[in-house]
Amino acid sequence: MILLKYDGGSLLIYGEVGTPYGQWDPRVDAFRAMAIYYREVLAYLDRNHMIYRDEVANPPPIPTLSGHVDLRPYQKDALDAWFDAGKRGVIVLPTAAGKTFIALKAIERLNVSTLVLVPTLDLLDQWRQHLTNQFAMEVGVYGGGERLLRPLTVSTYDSAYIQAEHLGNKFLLLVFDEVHHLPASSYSQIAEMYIAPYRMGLTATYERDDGLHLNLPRLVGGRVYELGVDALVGKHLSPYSHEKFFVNLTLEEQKRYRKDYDIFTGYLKKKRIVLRSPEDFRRFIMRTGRDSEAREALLARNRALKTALNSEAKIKALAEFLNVYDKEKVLVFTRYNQLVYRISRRFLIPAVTHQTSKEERRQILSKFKAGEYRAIVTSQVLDEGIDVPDASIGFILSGTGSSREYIQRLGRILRKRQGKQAKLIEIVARETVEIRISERRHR
Amino acid sequence: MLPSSLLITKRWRDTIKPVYAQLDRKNLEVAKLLIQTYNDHVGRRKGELNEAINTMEEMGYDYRYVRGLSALLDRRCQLETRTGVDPVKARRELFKIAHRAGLPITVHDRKVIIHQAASQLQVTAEELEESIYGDLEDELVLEEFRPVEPEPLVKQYNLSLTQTLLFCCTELTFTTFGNWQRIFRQIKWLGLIYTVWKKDGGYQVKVDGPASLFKLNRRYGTSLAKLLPLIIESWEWSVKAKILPRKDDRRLLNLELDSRKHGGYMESLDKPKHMKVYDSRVEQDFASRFKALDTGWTLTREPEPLPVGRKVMIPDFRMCKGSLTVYLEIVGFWTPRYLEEKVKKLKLLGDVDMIVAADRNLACQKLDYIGKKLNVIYYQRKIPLKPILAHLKARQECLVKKQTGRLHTEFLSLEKPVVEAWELAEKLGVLEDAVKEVLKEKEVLGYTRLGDMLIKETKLTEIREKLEDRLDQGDLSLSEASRIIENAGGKRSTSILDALDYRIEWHGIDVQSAKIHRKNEN
Repeated sequence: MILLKYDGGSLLIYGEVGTPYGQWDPRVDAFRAMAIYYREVLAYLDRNHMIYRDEVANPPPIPTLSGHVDLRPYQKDALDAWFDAGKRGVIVLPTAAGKTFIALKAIERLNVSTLVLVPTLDLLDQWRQHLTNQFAMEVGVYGGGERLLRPLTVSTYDSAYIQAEHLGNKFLLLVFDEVHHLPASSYSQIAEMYIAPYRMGLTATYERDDGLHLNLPRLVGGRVYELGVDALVGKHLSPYSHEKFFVNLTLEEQKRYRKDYDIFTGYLKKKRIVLRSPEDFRRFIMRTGRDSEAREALLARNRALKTALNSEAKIKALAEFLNVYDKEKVLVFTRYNQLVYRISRRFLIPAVTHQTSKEERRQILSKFKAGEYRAIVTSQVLDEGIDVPDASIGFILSGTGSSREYIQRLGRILRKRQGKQAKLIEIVARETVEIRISERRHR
Repeated sequence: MLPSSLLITKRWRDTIKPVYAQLDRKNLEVAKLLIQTYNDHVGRRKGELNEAINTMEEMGYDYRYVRGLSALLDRRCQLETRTGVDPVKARRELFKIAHRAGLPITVHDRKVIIHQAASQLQVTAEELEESIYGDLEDELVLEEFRPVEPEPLVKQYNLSLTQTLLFCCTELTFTTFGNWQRIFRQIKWLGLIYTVWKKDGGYQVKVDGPASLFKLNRRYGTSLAKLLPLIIESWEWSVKAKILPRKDDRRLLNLELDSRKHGGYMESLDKPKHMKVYDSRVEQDFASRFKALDTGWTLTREPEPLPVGRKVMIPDFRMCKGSLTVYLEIVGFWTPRYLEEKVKKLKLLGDVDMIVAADRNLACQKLDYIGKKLNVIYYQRKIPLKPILAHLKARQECLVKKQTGRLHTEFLSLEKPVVEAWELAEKLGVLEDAVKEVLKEKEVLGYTRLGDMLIKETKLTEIREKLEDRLDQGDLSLSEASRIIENAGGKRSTSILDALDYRIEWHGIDVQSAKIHRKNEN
């Protein structure tokens, strides 16, 4: 008889049968297949009328779910498209378009044990809240020090990766929130080591700079539905505008900037190094391990960049903006923690960085939502996912050149509210490399 | 283990090696200086300590070495917040007041709010300013530092360097002497898979994980790195690993290390702690039920490996009593072929006494055939104790019979005045039951048998005299009589009293009030 077992993120197929998905594993004397091919392996055995015993899936039992989500027309279309594609695939919608609700509806309709994967702890909290409210049951959590398995469970990508051996056969539906994280080489193993036959990916930014999104069709399923921001602005998303505000570095900062930047360019010129691509830059970084002068140059470049990104002039500009928009809810984004804390101290507004404890973070976000705080300053940690319906203005004091980061930050202020006019304001230092970084984001 | 940015390696063709810090004067001095720096900063801010370390880097030492050492020293630090107000509370209060007052646009606005919040929290404005982010790492105070000697620190650094490189490995092959049990237990616990073969009189073990079959995979690197400290504990070892330096690069490099060339560089400072023993409920359930019974057999989970031809086998359980050893192997799932393989393996074991417990649900026709050659028992969900106990009993009886026969013909010479059956069994290297059996019939010259105990007749007389002397002086309680017997070197006083024809008159259960009488008295 053929016996199928789950073994540490893979399938073991005992018995004298090869499948197109299995390889002979001499270490255990059985065929072994990636867990992602569970559905295909079963289909293959059925198609060939083979009798087998299946001991692979071990999902926690799930009660009958009854939710109360009403989908907007485009959300319904997206869900139908996903069902039509065989309950696999990626839905691409702008942030704030209500991707969560599509997933909640899918969970309700399939009524199977489900794992929701998220990139951040804030999203972990938010999903737990949504699932609890929707289905009135205790929701499992993996991540942020918690480990609780329930028929509906939320996990960070990190925990799901680390726990893949243990969790891989417990769920039949996987919902990948912010699915553009998945194709990274270690995270993609989550998709490979879990047996779930049903998979849904959600994102506002499908493409990745490294091209790895080409793996998504294999890992989750193809792109089954897509709408851009423009299709939804007005009716479902707030109208928004974008402006750039240039500031001059202070004299002292300019001097410091020039001095450091010249050390960097001087070194490049001396060694005839041209930095055009990320690969060039990586090679340069490698060099700094061997060559102390290269390391000096790199440190000088970083100092220069910090001078520009953290300029005092930006703080002054921010003060003026806060004065003008004194009734609006505001998010301030920066690249470095140092500046986050400086702004937090200067304007006495709460900061959220990766150093902020989970408890304090939760408290800050809930007070911000409740209107007890008017502004939050943050480094990259809040780029994704948090829901603040009435935040209307985002300030970008510094960031990377990534267009994804830009779209996500924009998404934080787009959630629809009556009469809201969202604004994203970039504060950029004039005559520095920062201008180029800022241009890259809008490609 | 270190951040990968601090890894220093050297490549040559298709090989890669960590660049070990030599245990020379210069390196030991840097280590000493760093340890000193940490020591000096006890009671000061972490930020100050970091600055001092940065200065050392600027003095021209390799920053990766300096940072590597300090990463290890950081783990020996205890950091604490030391501010006037709890920073979390300070922030909460301050941000609340700032929100109500309107966010401070000018520096003056800010000052006003700070003062208001400070008075609310009953601290000075300066104290409040210090407290706002007093819990950020740089602001924490180094409360305690567990010092270490420079040499073991550098050796720990070299070990960490190797482990950091192993994070990128796809498979690990090693040989070692001793420590097998812990290594194999660790391999099993980490969910890794091993293959063993014999080479040069020792075993070579290749370790990787389930998904290694599909593609080059660094997933198990962290787990494989955890085996290293256990492997290098042995006096002789060698390690070979395939290293995938970059995720997107398919080129593999070889790492080869051995105790002769590299053993002197490395040492583990923090020995890994021991972890859970059972990996299946069936096993755990069996162990707890077996232990609850007073069988006299000691049960050991995953004992030493048994050599099996080109492989080794670590049975699930070993049951021991005296010189008897019986192994138990639990087979949760199997096919005829799998079980045949197992039988082949077991045959190679020679005289090893092994019980195989197989899942009844997966039974098949070849079973009877196999059953004749091996002690196969079946189970459903639970391992049945009955057949196992029966087997143990049979083995024991068989041995007891053999030993009893031998003991009957042997002359027993005893030295101690009082000897218990188990002591005698231990001395003679036989089972206690065999001794008990023999004593039922065999007399030992000059000794009297009291239950499972032998006592020298002269000792018995000595005790009788002491008791008689005491009884002549008046009433004797049981507790005192026991004391007299024990002082004279006797044991089990009530048996002795009985043998000497004394009677115990109980008043309740108190040994103080129980009285000793001569049997012929009232």
